[in-house]
Amino acid sequence: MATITYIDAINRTLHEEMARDETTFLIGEDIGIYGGVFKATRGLLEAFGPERVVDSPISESLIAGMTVGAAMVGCRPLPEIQFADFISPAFDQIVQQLARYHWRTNGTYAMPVTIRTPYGGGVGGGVFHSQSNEAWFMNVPGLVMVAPSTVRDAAGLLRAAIRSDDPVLYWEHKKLYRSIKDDLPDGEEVVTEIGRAHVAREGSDVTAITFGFLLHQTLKAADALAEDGIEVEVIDLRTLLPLDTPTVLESVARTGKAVVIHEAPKIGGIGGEIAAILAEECFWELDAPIRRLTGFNTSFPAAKSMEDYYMPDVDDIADALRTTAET
Amino acid sequence: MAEKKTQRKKRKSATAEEVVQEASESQAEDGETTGEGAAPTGEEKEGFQQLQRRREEQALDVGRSFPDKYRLSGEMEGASDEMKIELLERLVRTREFDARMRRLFRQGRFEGTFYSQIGQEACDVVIAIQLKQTDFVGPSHRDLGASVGKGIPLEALAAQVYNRVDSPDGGRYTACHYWHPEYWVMQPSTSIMMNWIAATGAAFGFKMLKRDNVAVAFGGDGATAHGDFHEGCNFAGVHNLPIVYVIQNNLWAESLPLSLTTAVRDLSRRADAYGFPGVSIDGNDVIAVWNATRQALVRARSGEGPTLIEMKTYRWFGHSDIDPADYRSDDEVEDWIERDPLPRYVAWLEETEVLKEGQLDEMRQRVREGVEQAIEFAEESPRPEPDSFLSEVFVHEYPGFDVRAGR
Amino acid sequence: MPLEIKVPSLGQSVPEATVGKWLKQEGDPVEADEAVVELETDKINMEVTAFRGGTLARIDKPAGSTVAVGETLGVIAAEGEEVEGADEAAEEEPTAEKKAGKPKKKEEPKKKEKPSEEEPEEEESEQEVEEQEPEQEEPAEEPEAEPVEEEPAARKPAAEPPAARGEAVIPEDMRTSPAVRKLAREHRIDLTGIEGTGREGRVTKQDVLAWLESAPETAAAPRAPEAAAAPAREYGPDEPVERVPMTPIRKTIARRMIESRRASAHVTTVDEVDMSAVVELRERMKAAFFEAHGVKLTYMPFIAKAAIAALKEFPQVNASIEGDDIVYHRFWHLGVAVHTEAGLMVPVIRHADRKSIVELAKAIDDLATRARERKLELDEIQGGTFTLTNAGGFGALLTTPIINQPEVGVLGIHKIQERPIARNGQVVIRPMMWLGLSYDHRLVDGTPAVQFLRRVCELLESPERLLLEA
Repeated sequence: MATITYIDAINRTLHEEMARDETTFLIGEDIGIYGGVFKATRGLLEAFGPERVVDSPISESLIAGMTVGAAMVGCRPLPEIQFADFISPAFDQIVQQLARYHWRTNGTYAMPVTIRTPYGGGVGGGVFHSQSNEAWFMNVPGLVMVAPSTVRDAAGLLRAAIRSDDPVLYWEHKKLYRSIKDDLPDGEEVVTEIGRAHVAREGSDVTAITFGFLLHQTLKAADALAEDGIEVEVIDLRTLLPLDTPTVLESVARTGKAVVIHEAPKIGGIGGEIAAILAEECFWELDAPIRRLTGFNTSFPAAKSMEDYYMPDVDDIADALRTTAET
Repeated sequence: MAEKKTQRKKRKSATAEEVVQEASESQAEDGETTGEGAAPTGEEKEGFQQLQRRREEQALDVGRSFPDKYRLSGEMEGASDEMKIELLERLVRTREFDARMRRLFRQGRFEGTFYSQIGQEACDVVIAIQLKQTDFVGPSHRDLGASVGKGIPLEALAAQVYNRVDSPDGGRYTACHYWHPEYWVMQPSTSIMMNWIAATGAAFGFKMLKRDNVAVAFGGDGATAHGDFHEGCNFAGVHNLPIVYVIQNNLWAESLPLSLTTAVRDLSRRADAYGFPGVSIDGNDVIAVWNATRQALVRARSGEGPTLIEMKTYRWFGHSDIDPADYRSDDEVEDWIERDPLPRYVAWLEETEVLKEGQLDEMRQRVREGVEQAIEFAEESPRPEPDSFLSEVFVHEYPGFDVRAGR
Repeated sequence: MPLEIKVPSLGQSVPEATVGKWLKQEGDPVEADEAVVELETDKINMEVTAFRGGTLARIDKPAGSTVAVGETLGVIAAEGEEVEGADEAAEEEPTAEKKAGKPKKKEEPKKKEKPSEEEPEEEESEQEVEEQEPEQEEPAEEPEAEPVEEEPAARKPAAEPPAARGEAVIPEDMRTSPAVRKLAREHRIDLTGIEGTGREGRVTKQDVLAWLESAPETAAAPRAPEAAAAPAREYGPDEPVERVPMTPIRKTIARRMIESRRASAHVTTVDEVDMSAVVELRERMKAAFFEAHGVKLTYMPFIAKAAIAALKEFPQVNASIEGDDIVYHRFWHLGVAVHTEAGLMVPVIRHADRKSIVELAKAIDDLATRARERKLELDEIQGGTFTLTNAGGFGALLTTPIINQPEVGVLGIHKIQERPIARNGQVVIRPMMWLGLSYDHRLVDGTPAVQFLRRVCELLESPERLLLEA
């Protein structure tokens, strides 16, 4: 039994899966010699050599796009985009090629590619190191997105993603890298099923739907509200695309009230999609308006004071949940 | 702009008419296709004409660097007589299929559009025929010859153009984007240069998996301006990947002349920046293409790394078949049609007595029958079920995913 | 088949073109690949050439016409081919589609609806879906009748007004959530009687649930679910199910079955017929009949003949209701239900009364064959005035068929079975058959219905009397 961090879980799983499957390879910026800017890939170059741990030039389009050809000839590529904020040059390749290739070829080719990318705010990174830009990809057919919130799921979802034959965009939250720890037995191959949300806390009065760093803030807010007799059910989405609609619907049908919480701007965010699904499929069970608590529709600010204001905190979340619960 | 409205002269290739007859007829037909752009006036007009002249000069100038329009010389290194004849047959097959499809498009036999490759066939077929079936080809949307050259049956290609169920993609993907998994010709993306990057990835995969295979990527002159051209070449250079990059410089990126794509004369010079050899050749000279690609393939297969080959060539028709291509001058088009790669190759085969009398007629007859069979196959192949595109979004099932519910 | 000249694709942004000059005129010979007509758009001008040679038989779109991509410009006929007037030819399928063997409607994706496999277009018409049994439950394949009548009752939609004992009361000016309104309607709750604990005294879902718990006796029983469909059931892990969406044809059948049940006051009456004479007659005649006419002699023509004779005697069974009028049909178009792979079809023998036993046998054979091959024309599955449905082919002894709207009667035919019966105080073995007549009690009273059915039986028991029928 070892107590390890979120980033340890990622690193360990990469080691284990690359040892297990010789067709896997890593490619990304500064991932080899340097071990990754966050050290998520530390030790992998030494373990698997430069043929399978490829320090790439600053060429995000290549990093994402080359995986399509490599997958076609039998590889299981594990590209890393150094920051989610730098994913836009790879957008074309991910969206138009990688995600659609299985469909386009009528199911001839699978694209077993896992793109890892660090995202999220609260780390003083400013506009190009803080974004939670998952919504850019929400209406891309054929793409899977996962965003682990816990140490266990960091390992479990990464292993599931690597073993999946669908292209998976794996969002790892920078603020969680070293801020959370959990016991993960050595040698236990944790696998978290992709497509299933997790009810992180059960409750009857209002459903909070969130993921990533904000899951932990939401759980704290729920503890606070419990003291006032408000029981919050907290859903950790884990998979962002396709959303685990059944779990969300089941919970909201029970509580009649829903609050979606995420860091990304509200307009066009995942919260909007969830609200729309609830309105379409759960209308007659709703007992209060659906609420979204999100980042602002601005770019992500740099100054600490601004960043603190931008990020939904425990008090913001508690207020939103209380208001909805008491409606 | 008055001259733009006049109909083009009928054109006829000067030599070996029989090979190009089909296509020439096709071209003559196309002669009636006219388009009318907005006519500039006053001073603007002057500037426009100057620009136009500059474009024309450049296109003619590129041609002048290959002085012999009609004859080939030298020897195809390591090519047996059988290979030379088989190569001719695949060239003719590509030409006949393309010309026939152009006509069918005008007859409304299939929807979408058609991208004719006529004029550029040598650039594709000559390298494709040298590949192993498991070698990887990353074509663009104008690389019929890569598919025919690699041996894909015309039936599959015709069904692809027709978007019928017997297309490799079951009719769900854009027509005229030829591919076939069994022949390792990947499905081209309409978005330029994705195939360039993918082929680079395939070459990486071959190297990593220690396979004795190579990849070939195709792109046009226009595509060299795309960032992915650079990202792909640069990476392949760093990692010495087993890949041959082929640029078919047909002088026009849709309506954009080469002079507005690049300030360099020979696109192969770009290879210098990536640390591997680059060569510019006459893409309508089968011997030159053979020898250059053969060496490049040997390099790739023996681990010496990538090669960039610029093949200067010309597309006879518009970017697609709804493009009248009136941005090009008649003189220019005529000059390049005279450089038709097929009659030049036929003449050389006859001179060297590889091609026997009557053999070409026989070959063309056989090819035409094959083309007709393929068309019949496509015509009879059922149209896909309207909702058959709803499958294969994912490999796996997910509890929340419901394509009909839209979530 | 004549070749239609189609407007080819003109580029993604160009849905239509103007017809320029016709380079050929009607009657001109045309060679394959020869230019026939010019099209003009603001993007391109293009010649349309001929896919095959022949004669330009007809110009549909003269110069100056605006035409859409895919539209027919004119028709080229091969030697000896007739091209008919513009109207008819316009309905022709393009050659390629014919060859592909696909009905045209499949070219247009139907949003949301899952298209069924291979039905011909007729199947969407009313006639063909009138009665049908739950497919796959029985391996029926011959003409058959309907064992479904129990089902609609079980899942009858709750269309009736709620019972008078309690009404939901949801005041207009009261702010309530969807969940609260739904609960109020389901349990017929007067919301004004519940104290709200929400913001500004709003009645919340919790409040309603708490009220229900505290006063279950006073609350009315929940109403049946709103939709016609059975509510989604919960299945345990050891109760594997396969859930598939209904095909459009199945949906149509389902809808029309229910509609027929609702439209008519269905009653079924049963009688029994001693088929000895018909059986004996058929046994004696069938070999010669087949030799002479090339079709098998079945019992159907006899039953058809008997039914028509009885219909003439009881005109209210050969009628229909239109608004407040009764329409008595003075013609006798007999529908015969045929099971096909695509679904139930009811081809109609027009003027069946004018046909002899031989002609009826041939007509039934012909229609049934073509129904299975899906070669029926639309007017061959419409316009019946009474229907026969044979459930006997697979052994049904008794069914109660559903009426084919807007008819008022349907006769269910069943298995002929040797049974002991009493004749003159003796038990004898006779080939017996039950007949089931479902009729619309709005129009047909019980007595004439029973008499009608008795008359059919009598005629079959003495088939020589059929000879006297016109």
